Amino acid sequence: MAIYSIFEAFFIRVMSFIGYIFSLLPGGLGDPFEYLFMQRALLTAILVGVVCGILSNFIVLKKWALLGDSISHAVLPGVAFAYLLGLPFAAGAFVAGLIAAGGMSFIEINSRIKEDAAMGIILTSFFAAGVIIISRIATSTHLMHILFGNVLGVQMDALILTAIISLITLFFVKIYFNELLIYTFDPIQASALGLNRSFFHYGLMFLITMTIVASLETVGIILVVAMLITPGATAYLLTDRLSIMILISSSIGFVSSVVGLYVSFAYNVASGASIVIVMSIIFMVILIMSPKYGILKLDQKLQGS
Amino acid sequence: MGANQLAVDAKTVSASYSETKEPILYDVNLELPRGKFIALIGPNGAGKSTLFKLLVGLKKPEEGSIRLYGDTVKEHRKKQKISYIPQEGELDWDFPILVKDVIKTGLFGKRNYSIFDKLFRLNLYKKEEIQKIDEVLELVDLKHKKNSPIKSLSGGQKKRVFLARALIQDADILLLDEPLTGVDQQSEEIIIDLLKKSVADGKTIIMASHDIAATKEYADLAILINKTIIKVGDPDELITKKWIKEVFGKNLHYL
Ligand SMILES: Nc1ncnc2c1ncn2[C@@H]1O[C@H](COP(=O)(O)OP(=O)(O)O)[C@@H](O)[C@H]1O
Ligand SMILES: [Mg+2]
Repeated sequence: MAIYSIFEAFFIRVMSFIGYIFSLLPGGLGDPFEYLFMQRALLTAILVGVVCGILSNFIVLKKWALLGDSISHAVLPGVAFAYLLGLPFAAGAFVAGLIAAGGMSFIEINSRIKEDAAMGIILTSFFAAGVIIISRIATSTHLMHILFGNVLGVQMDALILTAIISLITLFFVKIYFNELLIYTFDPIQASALGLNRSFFHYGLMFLITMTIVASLETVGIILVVAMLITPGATAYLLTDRLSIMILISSSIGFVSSVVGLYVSFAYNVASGASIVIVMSIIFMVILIMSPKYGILKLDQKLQGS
Repeated sequence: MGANQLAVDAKTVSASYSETKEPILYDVNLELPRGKFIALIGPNGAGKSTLFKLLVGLKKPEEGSIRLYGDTVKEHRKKQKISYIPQEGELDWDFPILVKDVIKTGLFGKRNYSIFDKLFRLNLYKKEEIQKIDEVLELVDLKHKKNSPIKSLSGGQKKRVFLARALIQDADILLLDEPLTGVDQQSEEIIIDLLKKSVADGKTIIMASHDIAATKEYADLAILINKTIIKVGDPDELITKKWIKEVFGKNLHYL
């Protein structure tokens, strides 16, 4: 495909550029990134980090954390089936995510069960089904890779898929920024202004599902929800403006991916978990130190003195 | 009066939330004229906010039809001529948004930028528009709060911000959901003053309210509502012990 080769050519250049930049670092600090697989891993992790960072704002503000967790767990049987049938993981994951989302709404609308319980049930049952299928057909290494990601093994097609999903998300959020702002802040006025709320609701859900699929190889099913919550939650402690919140959270995604990957290589530990831990440490520091909304309320202390 | 001269024309409207099944509103028939200050009076849970949600198209009526200024709700929404001023508990006030950005959401309809512009331009607001924001904030006496986060404002100030948004939007119909509940004296005066001016400019105002006594002073028309429309008429005639008892189900001491 033409798009594929355009992306491939582009990324090969970017990767050699990354290799060059890192080779300039003194004292062998950049050595890990002279390997091709590390360059691919870095690019994928950065894309996933930034895109998850952007979407995390909407997840935090719309209180969709449990929803994100549900979708991410629910994609497992889809991945397993895709593996069984030799289809791309992403396709299976996507279909499973849609079925799960539909199932949740179905239970909620047609019974007395409320949203959170419906999500909990769907999340666990889909996940269990996935584990059963995988434990029959694949090795435990495979299961580990799907559950916890394997960013060091990312191939060019996964990188390109991630890039395409990232671009779609970036365009969507930039083009519809004002619409998304009204839709998340004031749904009634959004309706009064003639906005199609379903478009934004399902648009965001669609992007979250796609991003989860893209994150499978980087951080895996279990930890992707951290990438979809923590950066937004951290940024929320720092600013009173959505546009700035988006900039902060995507930067946190970026930094965590780079640092996490480096730590993972240097100490030979799981990469997805390293990225998430870096994110969590940033969150903890901000939680305490944020001038306005931190636990220490440094703002008031400074003004007081 | 021809049907097209009405601000709101609702026929046999009913509505419910799927969870509760039993209707929240039933057999609502309303013919409200344009350019009037209309008070919507009813107890908590009477369905006042639900009626507003029907008017802005957030909820679809289960039965019946609604016309606004002669258009269906869907057609009318496209013109962006309706503005909603939320009840205190309706929004998440911790939302990261500044006062000026709230006002900007009222300008939303006046722009038709191409997707290309939206994608590549950082600032989509024209100089006149930014100026207009200052003007409406001046009207509600909140210019000094322009760059403050919305959460830092008092209840009355928040209401004034949303009123400013309705003004910049140049809406024909203003829906105010209990704008005077828990509001300081100064804010109340500013709000009522501006609403009276808007009515004089030909706007239609529908204001949900608890403060029955005060309603007599400014409303041209009162609607008594409790799950359905109990009565529509002149405030002086409606706001009597008999009707209030009918709607609230008990004698209210402040009459
Ligand atoms: N989102 C909702 N889901 C289910 N029931 C609701 C919802 N919103 C309101 N209700 C119910 O509908 C009734 C009318 O509510 P509302 O229109 O808010 O009344 P009012 O604004 O007059 O106080 C209440 O009994 C309330 O509990
Ligand atoms: Mg209400």
